Amino acid sequence: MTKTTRCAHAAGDHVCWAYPDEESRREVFADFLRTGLAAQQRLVLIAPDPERRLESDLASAGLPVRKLLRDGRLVAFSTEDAYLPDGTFDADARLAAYCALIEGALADGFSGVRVAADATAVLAEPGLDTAWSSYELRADLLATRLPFSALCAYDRHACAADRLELVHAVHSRSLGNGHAPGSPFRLHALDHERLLLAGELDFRHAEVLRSLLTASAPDLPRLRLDVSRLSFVDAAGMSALAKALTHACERLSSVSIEGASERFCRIWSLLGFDTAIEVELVAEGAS
Amino acid sequence: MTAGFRHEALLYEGNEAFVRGTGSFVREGLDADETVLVVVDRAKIEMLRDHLGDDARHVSFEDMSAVGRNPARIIPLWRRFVAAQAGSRKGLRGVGEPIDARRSPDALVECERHESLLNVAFHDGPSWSLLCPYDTRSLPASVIEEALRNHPCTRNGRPEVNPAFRGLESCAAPFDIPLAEPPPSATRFVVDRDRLAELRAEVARHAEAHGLGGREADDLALVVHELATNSIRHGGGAGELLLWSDGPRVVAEMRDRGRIVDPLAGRVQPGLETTGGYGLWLANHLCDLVQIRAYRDGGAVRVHLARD
Repeated sequence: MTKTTRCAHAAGDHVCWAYPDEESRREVFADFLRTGLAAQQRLVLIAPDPERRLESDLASAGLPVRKLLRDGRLVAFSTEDAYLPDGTFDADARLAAYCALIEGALADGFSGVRVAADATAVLAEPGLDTAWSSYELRADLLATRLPFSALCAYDRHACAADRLELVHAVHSRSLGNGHAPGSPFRLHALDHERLLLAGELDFRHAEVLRSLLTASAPDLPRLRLDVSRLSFVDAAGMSALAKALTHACERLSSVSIEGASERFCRIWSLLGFDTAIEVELVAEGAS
Repeated sequence: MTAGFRHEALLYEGNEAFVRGTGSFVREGLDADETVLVVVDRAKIEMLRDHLGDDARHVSFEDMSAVGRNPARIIPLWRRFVAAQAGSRKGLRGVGEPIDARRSPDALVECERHESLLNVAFHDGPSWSLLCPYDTRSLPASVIEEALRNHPCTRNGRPEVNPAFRGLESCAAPFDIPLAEPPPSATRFVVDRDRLAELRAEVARHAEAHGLGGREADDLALVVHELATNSIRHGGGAGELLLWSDGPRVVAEMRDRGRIVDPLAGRVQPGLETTGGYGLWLANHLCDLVQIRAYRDGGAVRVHLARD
């Protein structure tokens, strides 16, 4: 294993990983969950055929799987049961299940929940592309609010590159050893009310960005969108942003764009969005 | 004369006649308690102010060389003027002189297109009058002839129907006046939807190498990106960019198989409700001159950005 993948996973991490092979996945899963044991977290393994994975990924790495299961320190679910009960994916139900899991763990004296999930099968589901990434963004927000850490692993050989790019874009962190799929933009949580929009946003991802922001609005008390690391945005991107923030304005007590460059402010105003919506635009360097 | 938009040409000889002709038009408006905006160059603003004396306080002025540097920004200005008075019972009138002898040949053609499109932009809106002065002493006869083709009315003390007007349909027809050939040294790029970041970097590098500041270079890169986006989405999925410099100006031209058929494309403020039209709007507001052409087998958009 490389130094890049064997890094400490702080509580609240929501990490994405497109794993290159079975061996790496086994090592990283074992390492990730072992860290949780030391941190007094309840461990969760989500994988296809979880019985076999408990053996291959954890027991063979020296973790006392049977004892951990018996003591309630480890639980396992199949990917299908966790994400696709009845063959359909329900983001609200999944997030509610995590909240219940965290509550239960805290009640049982654990410090939180730590999930290692192999969600390859979900990412391959037809029609779930944007819906899944919207869910992952909401999970990213969940990890800022509650003692919840998750490693979301996807077999990079079994997933379409554009889907992997998008799912990476909505995680606060990604493992990759330099091979992480390169999404041109990223949108993830900084804290419970702040999202970071970074990289390059153009017409190719404008509608996706709009869906992601719209889907995450119900989980936010208010929205502060940090654009200080947005290196390029075109008119279609700005328009999608304006439309999503208009939607957010109707639902949240306040919406602001923070860290906007002089260029961002100028184009935003040229397109008339400065007067069209009630978003507070905070320029770069302003406090 | 009928209600609706009245677009009048005022042919005058020299500054004194300018002041007399526009002054009486403005006074007529003030006497009728109308809202008046005058968009001419700085020197003429001062002349007209002197002539109007105290009455000038009731008139708004804008410097044409600033707001109308790119003539495609003038229709949006008049639209804002008209919109600001919506619901008011007061009448409106404006004076706009987009064309003078200092305009470059390229800009002159675009100014004439602008004059023609004013008829399209306002024909079905509220009533107001716009007077466009033309200095027959300094402008060539061909420009005056074109001015007469673009104005339904002329003014000689009072408005008169102009039989030389080309008609609304002709004004709204696709604009296909050929553009001057780019120099053979122009750099060519094929637009690729997955390599737009490289294209932007290349345009910005070229622009800076030809003396544009960082901000202008980034503006041009954004405009080229928008034009390339239009080619990808509406222009048959592909396009070709030509890039060259011409004295103090950097020029970029996007060619594709699409045809921009909306005559007012780029002259209508986009908003939250619109799904497109952002790219040409940005081009018009970030560049000094934008030339949109729709030919039978495709189209071209040429943009110019000059060193300050």
